[in-house]
Amino acid sequence: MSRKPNTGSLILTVKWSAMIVALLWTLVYRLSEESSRLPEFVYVNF
Amino acid sequence: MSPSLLSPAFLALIAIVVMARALIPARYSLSVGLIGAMAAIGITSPNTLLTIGGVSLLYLYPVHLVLSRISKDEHARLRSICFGLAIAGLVGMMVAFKLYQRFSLPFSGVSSVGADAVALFGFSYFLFRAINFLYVHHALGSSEKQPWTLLYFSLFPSTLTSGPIQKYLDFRKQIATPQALTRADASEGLYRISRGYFRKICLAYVTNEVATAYVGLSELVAWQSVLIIIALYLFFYFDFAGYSDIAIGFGLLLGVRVPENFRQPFMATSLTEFWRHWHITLGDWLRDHVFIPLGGMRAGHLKGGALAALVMVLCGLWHGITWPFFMWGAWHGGHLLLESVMGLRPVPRGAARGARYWSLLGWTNMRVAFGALLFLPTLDDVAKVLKGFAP
Repeated sequence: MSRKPNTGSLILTVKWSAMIVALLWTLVYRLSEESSRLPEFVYVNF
Repeated sequence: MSPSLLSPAFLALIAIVVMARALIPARYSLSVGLIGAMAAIGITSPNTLLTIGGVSLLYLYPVHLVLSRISKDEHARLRSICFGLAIAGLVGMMVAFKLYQRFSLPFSGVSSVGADAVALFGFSYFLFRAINFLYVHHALGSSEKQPWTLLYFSLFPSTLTSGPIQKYLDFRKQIATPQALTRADASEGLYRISRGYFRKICLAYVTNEVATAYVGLSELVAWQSVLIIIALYLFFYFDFAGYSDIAIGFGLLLGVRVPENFRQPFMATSLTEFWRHWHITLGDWLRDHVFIPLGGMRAGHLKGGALAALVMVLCGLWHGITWPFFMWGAWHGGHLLLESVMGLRPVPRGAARGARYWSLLGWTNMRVAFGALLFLPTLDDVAKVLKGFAP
């Protein structure tokens, strides 16, 4: 009898991994440029 | 340095508090959390600690004790007047700060107070929590034996700067029954933190770049105006929903379940429904502390709608006492009034999605997106985007 894969957990892991990769890519390749600056959260100013 | 969820120093200090919480028995959660929060905020922004901690201990706590000593039955009128004055004092402090944006403690040694305004950026959100604290004790006629839960509530690090706006009774209940950090909470917390930073650093960053690049053009054509409106709307969502994710995630790691701030707002089919799914904790706060005490919908659709419009104007002015924010509040408020008078009912979520559903959804999002234009730096920028639609 084959075990049913836990697709919910698999999807979550894939989503999580994709987010981390995108985050690192942005931090390393975009925000490391001298002219790039990450602005503060908008609602902090309110 | 600042107590921002983008500040590496502040995040490192919160991480130390989380680790301490995981290692020390749950019964010491309040002590560990409070000392950790004070250290994290005090190291990154001493003025914030002094201001918010000071107002909590020297204003909120004594005032609530005084209110609790005025009999609810014998001196109901005096009690209400004192409560009103206490709230007016808090609101007065915030309005002064909003108007001048350059308040500083006289003994902080800061000469250029404008540059130090950031030290108080938590004040607006602190105000909501502070009023909730006074409100629940006024309504219940109770008082706190110790000020420490209030102080931790005021300084809770993940929600300090921009919410989500917690309710005091909910916070106190969680602090009174501390739980050890579970694997499920740690996993959920880390996931929410990752998603929050992804939304802020990747999605909000890109949408902001797009909007900024096109707003910078001297003249716009229709498709560029449409692009700016969509990018701006998405930017606000990703920026604030991202922030809320991070705050909720760190809240879980610190042992406090922070309320949700967004629940698929883009699926709303009316502005009334939109405001129940966008910045939920602010909507709840305004409903509980302003709308319902002033009469709510009891007086009928017209008066109730007018009251909702007034609340939205106040909400606009809370963002800043400027004409664009007033116009933003009036824009949303006017639509809420119209929906109330027309008795418009949103399409229930989960109902069959026909043409009516999609047209209402599109109409709702369009109105919100156009309103978001008023957050552009100047009214000239708003006019430029609107001119893009001119033939």
